Amino acid sequence: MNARQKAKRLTEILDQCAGDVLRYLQRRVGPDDAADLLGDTMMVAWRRVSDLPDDAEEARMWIFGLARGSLLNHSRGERRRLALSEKIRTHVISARTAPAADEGSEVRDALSHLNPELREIVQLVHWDGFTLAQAAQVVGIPAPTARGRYARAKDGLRVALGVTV
Amino acid sequence: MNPTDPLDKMLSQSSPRTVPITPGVQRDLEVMNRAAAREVATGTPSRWTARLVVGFGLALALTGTAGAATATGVFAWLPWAENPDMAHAFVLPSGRACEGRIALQHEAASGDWDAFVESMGALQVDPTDIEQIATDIRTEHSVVVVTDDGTIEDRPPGSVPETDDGTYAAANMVAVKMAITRLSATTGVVVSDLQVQCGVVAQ
Repeated sequence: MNARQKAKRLTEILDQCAGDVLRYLQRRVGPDDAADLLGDTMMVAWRRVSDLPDDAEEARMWIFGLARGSLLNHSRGERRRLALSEKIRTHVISARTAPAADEGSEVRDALSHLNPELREIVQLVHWDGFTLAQAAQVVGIPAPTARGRYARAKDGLRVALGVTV
Repeated sequence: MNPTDPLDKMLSQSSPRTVPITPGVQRDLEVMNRAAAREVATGTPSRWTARLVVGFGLALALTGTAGAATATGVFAWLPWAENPDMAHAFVLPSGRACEGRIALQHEAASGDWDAFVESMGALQVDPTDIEQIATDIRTEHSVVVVTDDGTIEDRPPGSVPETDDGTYAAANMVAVKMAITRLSATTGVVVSDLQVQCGVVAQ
């Protein structure tokens, strides 16, 4: 795939998955910073367009991996206010009308006490809809490691929440 | 996911609410995508893509001649390297000007990118590091070649003669990476991409 084809492909892939990436980021950092982090993610993707995988599914995972990188580079309270994010920020903030369901607050609290590496796998699977293999790709770890982290996380959550199978 | 496991159900229901992707939001996301592409293509500065140039002093120390980094615009850079985070200019013992372009990535959960950028302004590539690395390369009989078209390639030991140019080209870039790695201990910033090119030899 030459540079022009890569650019065309990245345009298509980002158009297809930008909404999912935005929601992924919003679940992690809330409405205030999600749009800016999406802007960061898009900028990094365009700067690294030569690395875009040819396979569509791998390309999608690659973009989520970049989004995760933007998250790791993010510090709470940081307000970058990228101009290109402005309209999306407006959408996200204006949609902030319904609070998260109360029934989930205890679970989110238990998740917040997990080791971040374990928590991320659980969130990718249960909040973002990835398979364990895809979650492993996003985080950049082998699938068996992801399975191990997922099992440990659920063991910890069962104890914390008093849930049995 | 096990549909009969009550924990799985609880986890899936605990997801925070997110913005619905309406046609209007989708349209603005597509606009944003193209704006990002344009911004990268035009090299519009953003707070995290400040280009940092180091190595002029080093080039002078190695060769005693000026002229490093004058080859910008001559080289065929990869797309990401058109707008690098950092450039390192140096001159080989033969007098060929070279430039290394580096993309950085902040990988650690902790660390401060702004502090990193600030510290990069004072990044020192130690000439003694370069000499030590060059010695190591020779000792290991590693062969690095600077081709006539300006690219740098590893070759099997014994396949071609070792040259000072090849050795110093490799040593320069390893030394830059070492300097960045020292900073990364406190900032979490690492080198993610590196491309080096040297002046083309006229045929």
